[in-house]
Amino acid sequence: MKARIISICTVIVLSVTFTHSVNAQNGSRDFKTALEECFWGLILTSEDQRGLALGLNVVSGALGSYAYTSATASADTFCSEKTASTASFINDSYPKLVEDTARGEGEYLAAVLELAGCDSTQQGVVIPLLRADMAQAIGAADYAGQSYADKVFGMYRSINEHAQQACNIG
Amino acid sequence: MPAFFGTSFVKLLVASLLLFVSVPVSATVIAPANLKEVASNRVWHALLHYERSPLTQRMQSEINSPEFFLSSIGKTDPVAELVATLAALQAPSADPNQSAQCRFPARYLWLSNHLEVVRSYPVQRCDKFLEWSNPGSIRSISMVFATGHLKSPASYFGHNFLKFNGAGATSSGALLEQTINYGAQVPDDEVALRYFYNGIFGGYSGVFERQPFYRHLSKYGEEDLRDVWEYKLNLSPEELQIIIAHTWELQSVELTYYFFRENCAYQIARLMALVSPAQLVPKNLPWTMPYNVFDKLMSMKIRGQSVVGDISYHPSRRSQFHQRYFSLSDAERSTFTDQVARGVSLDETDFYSHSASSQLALIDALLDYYEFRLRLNDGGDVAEAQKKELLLRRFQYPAGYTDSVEFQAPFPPHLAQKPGYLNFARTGSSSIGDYSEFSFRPAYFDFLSLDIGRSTSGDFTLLNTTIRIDEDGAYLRRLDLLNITNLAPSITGIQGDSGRSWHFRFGWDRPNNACARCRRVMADAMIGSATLLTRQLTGFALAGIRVQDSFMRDNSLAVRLSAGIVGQLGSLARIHASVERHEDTGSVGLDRNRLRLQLRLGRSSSWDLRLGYEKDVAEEVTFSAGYYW
Repeated sequence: MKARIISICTVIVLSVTFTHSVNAQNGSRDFKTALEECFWGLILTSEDQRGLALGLNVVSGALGSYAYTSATASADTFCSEKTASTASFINDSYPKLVEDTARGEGEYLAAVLELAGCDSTQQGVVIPLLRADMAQAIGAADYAGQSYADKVFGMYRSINEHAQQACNIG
Repeated sequence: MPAFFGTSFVKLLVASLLLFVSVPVSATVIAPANLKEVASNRVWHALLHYERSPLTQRMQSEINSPEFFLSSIGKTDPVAELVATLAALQAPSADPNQSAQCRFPARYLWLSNHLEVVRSYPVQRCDKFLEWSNPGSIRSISMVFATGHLKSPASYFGHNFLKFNGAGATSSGALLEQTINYGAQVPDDEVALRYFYNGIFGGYSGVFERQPFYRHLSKYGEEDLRDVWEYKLNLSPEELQIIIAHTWELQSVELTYYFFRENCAYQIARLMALVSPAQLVPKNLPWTMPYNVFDKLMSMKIRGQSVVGDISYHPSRRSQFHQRYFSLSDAERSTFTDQVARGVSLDETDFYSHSASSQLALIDALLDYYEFRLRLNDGGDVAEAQKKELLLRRFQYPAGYTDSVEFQAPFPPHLAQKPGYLNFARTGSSSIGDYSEFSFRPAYFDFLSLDIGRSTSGDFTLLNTTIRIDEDGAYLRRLDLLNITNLAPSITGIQGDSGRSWHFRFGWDRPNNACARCRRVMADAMIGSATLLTRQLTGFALAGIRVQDSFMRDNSLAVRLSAGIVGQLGSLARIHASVERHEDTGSVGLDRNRLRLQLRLGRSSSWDLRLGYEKDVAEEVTFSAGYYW
């Protein structure tokens, strides 16, 4: 199983690296693509305990205006260890996390928001937004057909988006 | 308790030096006698993982990585490694993080407390170590026990690791706290036979890993459905300091992993040798089990006080579901059962007839139930659909509901039956007269063992050996290499709550009790089911085959049926009773029924008395006394 994960990882990292070079030539691209690449690279590399081996860096800024830059452009990134921790936590704890989100509180929910950079006051702002997002995601007709990884990514994207808006991301 | 790491490694060292002002040695040049004395110190041996070889009686480190040693002969020479370490600690380094002080902060701390000259060495700033150790954040250490289960041989005896605890209660609990875990590096596509061989004979490297605690809860509590116990240790800031610093030194080093002896229980327990001379690892046994370590941990004292403080419990998803279910009222349980039986959609009328708090308690219990079934790969799309509907239902209620169930901890695992067993029995037989038997097993529990810290009410014994003594002398009567009966009844009576019940045995035993010296190699394989007759009594029925050596006779295969009960009778007795039908398939086989009744008296983890009756061709009555160790 793990061997399969490693081989999938290799393919994705290679494809990310290839995409990186293509997009670097184009100069910029949309947030969703960059975030997806960051997430999958981190999840798969962290699964293999190989750390953040991704040749990809994305500067943070206001939603929707992400610019794709070279890896040395900025240390202020969301494709960082903090992001890896958040993504890894969601990947490992999704069932518990979804239950906490539905309840609107709980250790798992507090932990993921802490990892995403939200203090307890900011968590009070993010939780209703996240609840609304997850209620919509789980209520979607295609939810049952989604892979576990897609569900995890959906939640990660939502947390990341609200944390960027409501919390002090430094 | 104050934070033991300051904001810089310099502060740490200054504090450390102030704490140890009464140091015996004071010289800039260390006399050879002093070097020998320091190199023979228990803590120096613990820091370098030295053990005396049973063959050569020479010291040898268990660590295989050459970079762990600063002397080329450091693996086998504690004095040479000490001399090389002292030289390296005062050597300048272009990159402080690569200096000996920063690579081996535990050695540096300990030596600075024992050799005054070390305090005069120029201090390096260890930014990477400070970042890793998260200064000021770790206030205590817990030793954690994930209970065993029978799904995988590597998990039979449980698992243990260390957890670094933060300042106290936070909204995220302990999930993000860090742990130090020791495990074998096993290739993903390893075949079973090679896995056993390498595991037993040292074919795998063992490594220490740092992982957040939530990963263990996900693995053990959610995937494996195993309860997790946390034993918080009463350690001083200096004791915490050296353990944490040493775990930094162990990053990336490789040891040899042995399934029976030098396993997780052994290596984690050995870290405690840094702070206490107490032996947590049984010295003269060829194996180390987590139970042994926790048993000894409970009697370990530091500075005159028990080293174990609070014991806390992290229930598995299975335990969570059971406790939530039993906290429901009768009316709520009726709705729960109907809901499970009906299938996908909640019955609106019935559900909303309950109070709002009952509705939420029902949703929580059902969420645990369906997630538990999904973890068992049971329930499939129905369980998925139900869980989705329950989540959507829960989103309709306001946020901020406080869980009404406070999970109750059962008896902690250190109170379980000690795993080793010696038993002396006297038997009267209707066929072969009176005789005595002496039995021995190194592990782990049988039907009559205390029902604490076990994943099943069945049995699991290794190398169960019986020597018979009669007028003809003493001889081996029985040797079971492995004997497992997994009974997994439904605790709640709800569909899907039960697991698979099965039995496997491989050994050498008499075919029946009428023949004193007949013995055969035999393997049993049976499957069946178990049910909870009362809260403390389990009924079971199993069917399967026995393959046995046939010598000159044509009866190498037999069909076997077994049914019985096992459990607690009152507070002081346990019972195991069974009837078995054995039918040989060969032409000269001996079909027969076997009736067996065993009673155990006493609730001690160290001894018991047993009474037994067995009819298997002949009749036998047995009285025995046993000692657990």
